[in-house]
Amino acid sequence: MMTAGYAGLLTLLAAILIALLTLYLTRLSQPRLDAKETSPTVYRIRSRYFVVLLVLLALSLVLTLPHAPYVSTRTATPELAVDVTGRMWSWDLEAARPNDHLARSARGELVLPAGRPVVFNVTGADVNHGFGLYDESGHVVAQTQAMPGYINHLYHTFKRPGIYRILCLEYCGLGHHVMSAAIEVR
Amino acid sequence: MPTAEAYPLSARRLSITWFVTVLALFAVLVLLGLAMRASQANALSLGANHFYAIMTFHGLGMAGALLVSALAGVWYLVSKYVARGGGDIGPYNAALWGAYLLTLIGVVGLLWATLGGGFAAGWYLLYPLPFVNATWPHWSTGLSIISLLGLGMAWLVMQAVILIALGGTYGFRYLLGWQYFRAGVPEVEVPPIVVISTASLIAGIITTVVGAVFLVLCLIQWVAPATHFNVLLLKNIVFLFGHTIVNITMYFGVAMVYELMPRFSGRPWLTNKAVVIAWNASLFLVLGAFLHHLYMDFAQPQALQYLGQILSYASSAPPTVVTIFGMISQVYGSGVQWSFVPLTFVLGFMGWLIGGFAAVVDSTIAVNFAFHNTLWVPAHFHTYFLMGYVLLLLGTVYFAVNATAEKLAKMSLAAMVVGGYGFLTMFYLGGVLGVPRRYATYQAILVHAVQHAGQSTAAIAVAFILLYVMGLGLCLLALALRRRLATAETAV
Repeated sequence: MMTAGYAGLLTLLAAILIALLTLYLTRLSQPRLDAKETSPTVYRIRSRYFVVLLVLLALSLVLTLPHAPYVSTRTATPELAVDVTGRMWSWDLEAARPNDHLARSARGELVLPAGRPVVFNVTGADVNHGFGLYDESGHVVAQTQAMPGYINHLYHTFKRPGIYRILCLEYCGLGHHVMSAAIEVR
Repeated sequence: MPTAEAYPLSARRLSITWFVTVLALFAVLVLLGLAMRASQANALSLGANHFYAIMTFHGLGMAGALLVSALAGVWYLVSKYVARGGGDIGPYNAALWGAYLLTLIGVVGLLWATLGGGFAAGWYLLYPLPFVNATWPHWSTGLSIISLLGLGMAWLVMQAVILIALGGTYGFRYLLGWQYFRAGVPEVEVPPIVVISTASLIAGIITTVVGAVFLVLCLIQWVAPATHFNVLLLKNIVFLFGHTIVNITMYFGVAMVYELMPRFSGRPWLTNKAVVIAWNASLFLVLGAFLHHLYMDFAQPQALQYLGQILSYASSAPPTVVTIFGMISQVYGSGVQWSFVPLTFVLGFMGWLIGGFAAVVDSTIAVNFAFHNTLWVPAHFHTYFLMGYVLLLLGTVYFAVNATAEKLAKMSLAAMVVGGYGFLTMFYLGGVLGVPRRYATYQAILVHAVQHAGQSTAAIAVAFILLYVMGLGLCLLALALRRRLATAETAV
């Protein structure tokens, strides 16, 4: 949720900085100087920049890799399990374990509790689909691919009650854009 | 004013034919892109079947056309060295004309299959999409696969021909520049365009063969529907192919700048150890970066997921650092006059960096969790292509055809840059707001915020695309206003 906003802002600032530096570069062409004078300066900055860039990239790796949405990074044990099957062009959601006693809303939507870790076991019945979970404000809160022959385990804890929509996030043919479902979180 | 007279006429004629063909196709594909965004903005009603068929042709056409334009550009520029080295460029030109013919046939086949037959599996088709409950005729899937195989063969021929020509000129063992690590003056000096092109050609040939294997498997499936292949494996293969092909197109564009910028700056841009290390590293890194396309396939071994982020980060550094500082060396105190060609080069590098930064952001697994298959994805690769590679290509073509309408060309560049970045900003904004990519319409989205964001960003994008189209039209006109070469150094 916040991630997308920060990433967007960071990219915007980087783009502005790159554009300003490009403009600055075009102005550096004058006055004419001997390349023997300019080259050592450029190479010195290059070495420093390269080191700084490597440090930033390494730091970013260390800071972000632990936040990958995979099983090994999850500490909470799921209390509920939902089987999800994507097919052209609809979603089937069912309780994976009968003992979980998951209810359905009046509209037939699966009802899940807020604040309890859920695992979605996601697969595709025919082709690749994308299980994209959106909150009411339109933020992508979680996603994984729904692939035939494989089950992707997506761990998620709903923070707030509301209607969460599932949109398809992998192109799957002519009905891709109408492939939708909902989950009610109470 | 630097001129294009030093290049062999026969290679020049061949490459200009490629350029004209590609730019005509490019203009048509831009208009198809405009139609898609207009449809998403509800200003035009395409219908899902037409939208997705257009989307497929637009993607395949752009990826293929820009790759071949890059290969044609590289051939045009290295043909001088091949001819000077005593090589007969006639047989190479003949093979490249053959590839041209094969490409035309392939494009017509694709056009027929997509816009005629309704084939709409997307430009990177994810197996088994074209074969399960397809809503388009069976023949159009087969025709697409066969056309793509033909195009793949043409790309393979082009890449192999250039590599063989370079190997024949310098000796294969010198092409990657490893001789620069030995003490003293290297026994064979190679220009940077050769090192960069060789690294990219090797990656390109490997992945084109991989792509051909994928297509052959698809052909088998098409003939024998009961066949079944592993979905995850084929997904890896298709992204190895698709990602690398797009990535090396940019690298070929960069290689062209290494070759041409010195003509404007008056300073040599020579191969040195840094250039060799950077581009040799990129050869290996570019082949692994595709893994970031599979982050959301949680069934993929986790080690590969983490490797994907590490390689994506790593691949961003060497070629950009060496190239950008090389460009700074070219410009700083050189007295270069900012005519159209060098302007396209610095602006193209700017687009490369901005698109590259956005790509690195999205190649962060934790960020990809929010951005995967939203409009952020087309945002970054359109930046790469539209504001990166295409500008480098236009600069190279302007040089190659000896265009002279400097004022008109600069005006067109301004319109293309403003229109282009406006169009891209709407893609990025859509990505941040969670708008899914590859949606024929946002009408059916029941998340109101996403539906609204999708439609309004598409509507604004349409206005900017119109400005870009105007700029492109003026640019093509400027390219048509050229002076004939007075003499040719080598009439081969």
